[in-house]
Amino acid sequence: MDPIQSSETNTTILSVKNLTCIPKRTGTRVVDDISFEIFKGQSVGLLGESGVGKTTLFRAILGLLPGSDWNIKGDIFIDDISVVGLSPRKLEATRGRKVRCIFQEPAQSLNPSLKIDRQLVEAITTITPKLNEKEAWGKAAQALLDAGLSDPEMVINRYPGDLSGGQRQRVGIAMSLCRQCSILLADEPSNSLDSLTVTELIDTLKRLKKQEYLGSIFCVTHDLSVLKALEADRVLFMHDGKLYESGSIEETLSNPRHEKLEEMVNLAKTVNRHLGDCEGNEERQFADTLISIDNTNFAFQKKSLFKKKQSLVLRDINFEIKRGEFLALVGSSGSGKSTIGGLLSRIFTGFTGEIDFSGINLKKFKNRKEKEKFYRSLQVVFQDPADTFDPSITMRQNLSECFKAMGLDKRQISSSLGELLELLLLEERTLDEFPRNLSGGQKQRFALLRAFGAEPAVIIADEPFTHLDLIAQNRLIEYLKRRKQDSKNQLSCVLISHEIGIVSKLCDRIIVIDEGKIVENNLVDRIINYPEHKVTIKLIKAAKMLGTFDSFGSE
Amino acid sequence: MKNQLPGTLAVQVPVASHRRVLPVIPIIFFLPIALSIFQVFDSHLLKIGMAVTLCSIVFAVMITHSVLNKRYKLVLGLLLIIPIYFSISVASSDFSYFSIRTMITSFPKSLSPGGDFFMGTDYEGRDILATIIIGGMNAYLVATIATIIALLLGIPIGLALAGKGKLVGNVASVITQFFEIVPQLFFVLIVLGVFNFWAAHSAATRLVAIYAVPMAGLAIGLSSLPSVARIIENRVLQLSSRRFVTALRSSNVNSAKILFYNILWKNCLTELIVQATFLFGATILVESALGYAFEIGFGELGTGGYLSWGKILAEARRSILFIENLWIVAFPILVTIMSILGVNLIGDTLVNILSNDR
Repeated sequence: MDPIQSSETNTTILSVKNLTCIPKRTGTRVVDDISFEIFKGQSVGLLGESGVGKTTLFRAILGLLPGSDWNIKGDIFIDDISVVGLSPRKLEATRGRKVRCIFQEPAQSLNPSLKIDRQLVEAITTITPKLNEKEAWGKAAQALLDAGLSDPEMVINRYPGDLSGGQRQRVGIAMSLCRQCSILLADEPSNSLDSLTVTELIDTLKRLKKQEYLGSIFCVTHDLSVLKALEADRVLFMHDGKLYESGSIEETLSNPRHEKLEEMVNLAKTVNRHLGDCEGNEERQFADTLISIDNTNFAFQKKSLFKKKQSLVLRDINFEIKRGEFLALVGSSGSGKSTIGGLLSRIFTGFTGEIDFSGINLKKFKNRKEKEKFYRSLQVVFQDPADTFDPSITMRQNLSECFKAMGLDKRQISSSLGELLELLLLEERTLDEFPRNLSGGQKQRFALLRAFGAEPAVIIADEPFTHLDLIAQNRLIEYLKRRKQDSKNQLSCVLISHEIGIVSKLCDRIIVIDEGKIVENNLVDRIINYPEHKVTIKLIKAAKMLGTFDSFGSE
Repeated sequence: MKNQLPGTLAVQVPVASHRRVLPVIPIIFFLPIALSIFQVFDSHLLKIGMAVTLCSIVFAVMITHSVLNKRYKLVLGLLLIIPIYFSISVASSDFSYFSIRTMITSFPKSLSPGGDFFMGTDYEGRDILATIIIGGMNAYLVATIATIIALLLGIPIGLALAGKGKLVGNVASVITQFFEIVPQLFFVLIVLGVFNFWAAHSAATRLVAIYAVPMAGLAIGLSSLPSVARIIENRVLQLSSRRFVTALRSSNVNSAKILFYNILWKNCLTELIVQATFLFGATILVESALGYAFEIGFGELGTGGYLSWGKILAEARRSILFIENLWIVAFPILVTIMSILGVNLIGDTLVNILSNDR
């Protein structure tokens, strides 16, 4: 009997019994004696910080942990079939029909040199060989529609390289949704997808589950808002390889049962509270212009054998940043917003047009002093800043090398280090550690320290709300708020993000970018209440769904 | 309380101490050459005794340390390089004694090991122990010179290959490709043959005797330059696309400082040390082959007459052909194999120790 058709409510779909995974090289218990069951019709979320063994568990369930590197004990049942130690062919037969999964980077699961429709049809016919090509394409088209691609015909005869990043992601998701299954596994869907895609995906998943196309959903994430949007029936919490049951998502938010989980929820709430405090600031007036960008075009240089191909990434960019103003650059992924950040911070050069930073022309510095002044007054918080440190020297050497180059002397360095370590909750001894011995969160805070150290006039933060962990986010927001009130040494800030909800609370003005062009540039209230462009409307809708406009579990 | 927040606790990994090892390596490496200051003393027993004691202490410390750290591969490697290391130490502390013993031909011919002659004597009545010691010294010197030259030329050429300058880059790639295309032994034979014939012909045999060893080192070093250059090229290209370089650059750090300090000194040093070790091992083999080839081809003039393990082998071809007096060939073969194996084992261990941080 096909389990999907059965109407029993308590059918177990996935059950994990006493699972322990130990990598042979280190011998640490990454997954430690875990047992749980997922019943038909449930959506279950697995929550946990990064590095607690979530992905290992996920891969163990799929049978993707190679036996040569891992010691696996315990049992995993998918529909009463034990999959541990099954031969690859039998495993394929079980897994292919019952389990579908969405990996962290769905866009990368496509073969770049095969046409997309062929890939999809192939994926479908491998699982259900009796379909002919036309029927299979019908199914693929349905899956593409489900994945949010409004016109499935457009992928026919095209290669993955012809599509934009967002479209590729959707095709990757469609590949996972192309067949009915008893359970869908999703690994960190919010990590690599932009907020638009995530909300559409979650919508689709909820709808498909209602139609019993998907038996149940198992979603691995560290993001509370995703689980909230998914309306998860059960939340499992993982810490140090151990698993804890913590009830529904509402229960988790209002009454977390594990202290680490409580910390996580509280942190998320503090971020929201901080942001909430910022709301309703009176409109501020700014006098002098700090940065102005005029008629700027930018294209990445491509080397080609026959001719120099150029596709403009940015077209006709015109805007101004006033001294003390907080500006948000918002757009979906691939719209060119990070490129603008790169231009402002001189990571990319070779643009056309004029960029002026309080009298300094960014095309060419007149002398060394000007260069020093520019780099000292403009600081960047990079996207995922944890790996922006030289791995072979200690943190202290890393930081003092940068500070020295910015023109700070020894006493200034040590005084600002001491002050900022306290602010960022970093211990003194971590300064003398090598980057590899620090956790990702600590390195992110060190990156903030580097950015704050020289008391810059402008901070450019690239996607701080997706890649930074919650402590770092808290500190960043706190620092920004403090400097916002500081009228003596005014800070301007450029926040690059796709979360229009979060930035709307912090910023004075929002610029919406789509396909390399500025489509809207206005004060926050106007953009939120009277959006004009369709991209803006979509972004606002996504933010409302993920709940970034309002706070979690109202206290 | 504040420090209890998630993510605040560092992963408890001991602070890397591998870099502490690095300054010790050149000291141990150049110690035997420095022992030549003992030559001022008179007594042979004193000189040789002091050299042997000093080296024994160094080896005892190194071996104990590696046993305590459970690096058994390193222990084996150290044991294997004992002959060559002691050869160079003893020979450089009392060069005249051993070199004279290799020239005396008045000992009984092809005497089997034992008695006064620990390794016996060869067909011409020379002490084999002394020839092996002097040959070992020469091998060590040639390998050292070759490695240093390969590093000195390979690093700038590698940087030029990785750099943006078109003209410099093209010149560098022509040089590198030349040495990649021309077979190593062939190149070395030609260079040395030409030099030695020229020197012997025009100036004096004295010139040949003085410059024979450095010239062999130079030729081998030149021909093994691509291996260093390519490593530097790859590593620099790979590192300069890493994001920490962008971060440093946007903090106004000088690009020369990034290149030489952050990329080359801090992030390429371990690769270079490891590569240098393997080069050293390979050079011993090439040098031995060179000695052999010259002995059967050009005779005395070829190598400039310096003693080498390969040369001993070539002179004792008879014992291989007729399978007689095998100790004459057994000892040079044994020390050559031991040295190369030992150096490579040490290189392997260095890879393991130094690449821990990536």
